[in-house]
Amino acid sequence: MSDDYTSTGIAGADKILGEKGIPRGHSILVAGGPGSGKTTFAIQFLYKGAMEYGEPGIYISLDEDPEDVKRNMSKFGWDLGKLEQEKKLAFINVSPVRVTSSERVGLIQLGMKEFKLTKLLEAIREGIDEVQAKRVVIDPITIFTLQYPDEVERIYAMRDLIADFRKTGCTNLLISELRGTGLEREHQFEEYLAQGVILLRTVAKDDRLTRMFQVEKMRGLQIDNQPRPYNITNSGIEVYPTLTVFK
Amino acid sequence: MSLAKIQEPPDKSLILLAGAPGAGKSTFCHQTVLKSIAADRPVIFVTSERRPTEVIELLRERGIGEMVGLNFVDAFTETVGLTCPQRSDTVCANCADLNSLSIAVTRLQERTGPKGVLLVFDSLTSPYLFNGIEVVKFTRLFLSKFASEGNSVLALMDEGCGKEEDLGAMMSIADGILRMETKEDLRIINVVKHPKVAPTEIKLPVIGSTAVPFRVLDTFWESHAKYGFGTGSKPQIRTEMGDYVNVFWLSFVIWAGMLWDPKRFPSMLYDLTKDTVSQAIKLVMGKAPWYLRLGFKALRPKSCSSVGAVKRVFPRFEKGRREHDRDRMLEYVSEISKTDEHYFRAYEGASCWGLEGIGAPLCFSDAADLAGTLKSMEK
Repeated sequence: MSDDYTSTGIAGADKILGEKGIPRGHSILVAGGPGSGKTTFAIQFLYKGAMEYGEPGIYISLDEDPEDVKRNMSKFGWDLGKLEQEKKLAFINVSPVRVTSSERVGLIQLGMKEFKLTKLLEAIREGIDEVQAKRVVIDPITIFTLQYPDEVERIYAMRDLIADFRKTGCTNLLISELRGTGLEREHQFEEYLAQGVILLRTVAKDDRLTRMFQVEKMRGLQIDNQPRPYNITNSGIEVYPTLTVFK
Repeated sequence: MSLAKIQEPPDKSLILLAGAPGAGKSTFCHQTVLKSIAADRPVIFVTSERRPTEVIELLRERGIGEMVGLNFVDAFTETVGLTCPQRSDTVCANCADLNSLSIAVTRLQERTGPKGVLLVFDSLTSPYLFNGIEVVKFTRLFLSKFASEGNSVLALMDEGCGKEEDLGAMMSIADGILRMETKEDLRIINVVKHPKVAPTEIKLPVIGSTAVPFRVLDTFWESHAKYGFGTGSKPQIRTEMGDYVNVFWLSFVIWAGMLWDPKRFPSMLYDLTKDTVSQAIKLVMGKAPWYLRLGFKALRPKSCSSVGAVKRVFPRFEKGRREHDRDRMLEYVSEISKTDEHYFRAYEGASCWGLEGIGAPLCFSDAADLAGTLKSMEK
């Protein structure tokens, strides 16, 4: 793999990304519905980065308690606590919803009111310095955008965030809820701003879910933009790049 | 023979085996699996009609030894709404979800390797009933692609379970088409199209698996032992269950050797009897009480060449015994026998029957058989 790209750490996904991976320093939007494995995808990206590619990472939680995330991910055999101790991984809780201003969890405290772009960027920079991070995950970015009720303001904030990431040189995943289920959906403005978009979609058929992994966009890469089946297995997410999705 | 040839699907081919339910598709497909395993070719068996354990049981009856190289996609358990058990050689899938089927096969390929695999799909009917026409797409985009990557695929499909044009569409994708049907007492395999065999029609008699009589023989010997030692009260042959017929069937199979190689037949029969009787003695003696084992050991002669020795080992005939033991209607004629020259008198029975007014009995227990029995009685 060339120095300009970094592996996703997701079995099968790099093949879809032209055997290369994600361009370093890019902001990739990972959008998926509830239960599609967005957080698993993000943690797997960080875990494999730290374990196999020597790229430390930070996980910025805007919603779920990092302790819960760590506990949930242990079922895949990923010991995140150990990586945290070794300073290969940092968890930052900046949840505006769940952390009150008097609480101090992780590196930074943020209350509902102060939660704005500057604070988030501050948290990211501190985290990056802490572990010399090369990979960053913000999970979910939806909470951040909700802070800006005005659409224009929202787009500017998002653009600034992405620009700032570009400066740090960190490859980052912005996790987002996918609005609209099934195949028909509207494009979200984050999709235009991000340099890459990965969709984790689920289509319900009868009472079963069909999971589809699709790289909608990846600037600077020849990609396979067909939907491909994926599965959440005992060892994380597996994408099957040679298989066709049957509906 | 073309049957053997069509049961070895060539690489890079997708063979579709169509037929009405009960035409013998599964049997054909099990035979194909056995051949593949015997040739060290890995098999991925997608089973949607029965559990993998049942398939293993059927394969055992058809004579499979080791299960090396046999991997299962259990598309039965989850499809019928049960929880799939964890097994190292099995990946679970659901017929209602074609993606789960293709993913399961892909995961098993990590074990079998990407090429030279025989994928058996028994059958496409269940996925078709859940997914309809999408199965045609599945056949094209998964099965046919899988085959083209250097593997072979044998896919079964029931005729009359869906739209004729859907089956037609699947046939148009396949590299080979076999159609099976049963007519009276014949199984007919119609080779419509095949990469290696010219179109033809193969007719086979409808017969049970040859493994069955041998299994019955084991049961026969076991009950024989029980009865003989007074530990079992019922007669050992259950005529109402067809045991009697199966013993006849065995003798018939053995006699077929006469047609195969008449010159070698006596020595073949001698070897076969020596082996089976030795095994039967082991089986019977294993069940016997200690005093009988001791007695048998004492009775067993070093050699059966003298008249005295044969007289000792050959069972005495009693009237009551003949009624149920139709396998042993033979009498040793000690008066005229000499050392290394023994005479027996044969009576008509299940394994020994003659033509009325002509005599000349066709005896299963003929000279070679008796020689084998006597040899195996020696210490």
